[in-house]
Amino acid sequence: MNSPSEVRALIASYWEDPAAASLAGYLARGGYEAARKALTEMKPEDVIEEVKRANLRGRGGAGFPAGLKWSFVPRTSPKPKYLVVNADESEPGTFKDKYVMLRSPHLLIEGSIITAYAIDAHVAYIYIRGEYDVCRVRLEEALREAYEAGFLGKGILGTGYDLDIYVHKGAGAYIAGEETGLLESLEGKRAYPRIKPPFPATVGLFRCPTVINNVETIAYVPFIIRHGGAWFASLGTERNGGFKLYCVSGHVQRPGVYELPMGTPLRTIIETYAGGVWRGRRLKAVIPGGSSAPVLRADEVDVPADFDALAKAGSMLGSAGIIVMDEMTCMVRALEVIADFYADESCGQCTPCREGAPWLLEMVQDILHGRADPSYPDLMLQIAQNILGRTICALGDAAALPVLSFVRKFRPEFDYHIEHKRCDVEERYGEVSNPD
Amino acid sequence: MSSHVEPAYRYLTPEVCARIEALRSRYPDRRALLMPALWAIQEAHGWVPLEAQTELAAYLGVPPVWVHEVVSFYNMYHERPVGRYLIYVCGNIACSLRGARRLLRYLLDRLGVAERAVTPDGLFTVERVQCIGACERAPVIQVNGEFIGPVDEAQLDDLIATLRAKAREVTP
Ligand SMILES: Cc1cc2nc3c(=O)[nH]c(=O)nc-3n(C[C@H](O)[C@H](O)[C@H](O)COP(=O)(O)O)c2cc1C
Ligand code: SF4
Ligand code: FES
Repeated sequence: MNSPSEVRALIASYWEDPAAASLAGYLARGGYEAARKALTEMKPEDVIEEVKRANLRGRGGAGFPAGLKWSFVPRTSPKPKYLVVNADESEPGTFKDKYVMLRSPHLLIEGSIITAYAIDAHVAYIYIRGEYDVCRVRLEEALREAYEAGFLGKGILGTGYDLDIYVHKGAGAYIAGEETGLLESLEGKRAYPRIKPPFPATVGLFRCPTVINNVETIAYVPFIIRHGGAWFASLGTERNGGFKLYCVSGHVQRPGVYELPMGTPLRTIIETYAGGVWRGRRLKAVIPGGSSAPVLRADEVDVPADFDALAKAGSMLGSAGIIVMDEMTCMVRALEVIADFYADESCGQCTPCREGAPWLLEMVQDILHGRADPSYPDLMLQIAQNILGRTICALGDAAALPVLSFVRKFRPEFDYHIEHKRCDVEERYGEVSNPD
Repeated sequence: MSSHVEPAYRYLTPEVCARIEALRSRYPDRRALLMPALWAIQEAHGWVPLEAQTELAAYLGVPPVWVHEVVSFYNMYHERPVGRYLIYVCGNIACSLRGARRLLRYLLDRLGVAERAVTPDGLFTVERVQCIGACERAPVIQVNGEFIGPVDEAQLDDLIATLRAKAREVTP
């Protein structure tokens, strides 16, 4: 395979040149060659095998192997099959898919063509959050270009393969990012997650076999087809192939998206790439995978940022939204913001999530405002434990995990608030970096 | 083809209907047209009044509750009118770490308005929202869909002044 010898960036290599967002610029960089190769030289099963070899793990949060997911689609089903691209990107701390769509929309389209071909889908929907209208406009433009050039529509690239791609605009609901909530939403309903099984691969959109993948997952597919699955796998760590788009935000000098080999140490991402903690302050804590992920203390960040290593460290890579907190951060207040989010976004179908998430919010607010008694932290842990694993979708866990980790790892701050009705960080520094 | 005889619609104008019809072939099920149709209505009228929801239900031939349950579930459909400039202020984690909550209060004070209300001149509505996917620009706001950030108090002052001036230009 014609593998580039030294690779510094894959998706992000398209971001340096604004022209790469247009079809002409994309074609000048070898665009749509991978789709041509897949459609003219490979059988769908070969594409799936190549992606399996690549160890491409889903970038939407759960890290499920993409090739394996595709192989669950029943090939002989007489029903139409669908590809759904999850561009809802609503996990707090996550903003990478936005760049893929704004700066390399054709990469997403080409990846979608290859993926749809692999699962024998002739219609794909890109579900994009309503707040990303700038991305939607860019994507619609790119789709028009792709149709005109014969990369979409009937008989793509002179083959017998047809594919239509439609953009579907969301309207503001975090839960619509959960894959079955998303399907309900696409069907024109409230985004209530479905009980699984059945999984979407067999009963998905309009009750037909469906593959749902995150934008970034799909955007890596053309590279795998171009250079081979083994090459992609070799870029990352064991079972975590390729590169990864890491989003760094919070108290760092250079917030932004950094594309690095899967498994780059969390500390390196923060210190070397994002420029370290701002204002010369010390690091206090890091949430490594979007606000749903358990928080890590400063002494816990020497860990490879991949799905397995972070899971072993008691957290998760999730959406790779790395949220950095400096020493002047009030952790009670930070948890209040997170708890507010999950209480706000619970869809209300499951009692533990619907009732538990607002209780947790109220309790952390009581602590913050000096209305709590010393039993609260333990009670919060108990409530969180009782949500875990008892709900239809993972939003319940997402509401519980931050509480468990914040309270366990920063317990003295919670206790101080309760006992003294004041913030101990504020006392020590004169102010906090996350004021009300 | 939809061949029902329509009463005169107030919100489902011919333009809105044309937009809906252009999307029909994309979905195997007319219920899936609801979200795009609601967007078409909101883009034409600025919000989605109950009357518009009822019209849409009749137009698509679906129970009105199907429309209403969607409108009431998703935050971005407005069941009440909003100002000409809808300002989303993100109050989520990355933004609040950089002072967003204080900025939100500042902006509301400056405009003398409650969250989600419309200023008396009809120009502004401010809404605290959850993460809008621009945490690298924290604290970030969105004005009619455009991301602006990082912002501070002085920039918010400038922004309000600029938008007020712009509004004077376009309204004779
Ligand atoms: C509450 C919740 C919200 C989610 N939001 C998103 C999202 O915004 N974008 C996304 O790609 N995946 C999101 N996911 C993950 C999806 O359910 C799904 O796993 C993913 O889209 C599959 O794609 P992947 O295998 O390529 O990662 C969310 C999951 C949950 C439980
Ligand atoms: S866990 Fe929460 S968000 Fe998920 S289905 Fe249940 S109530 Fe809805
Ligand atoms: S937390 Fe404000 S945009 Fe993400």
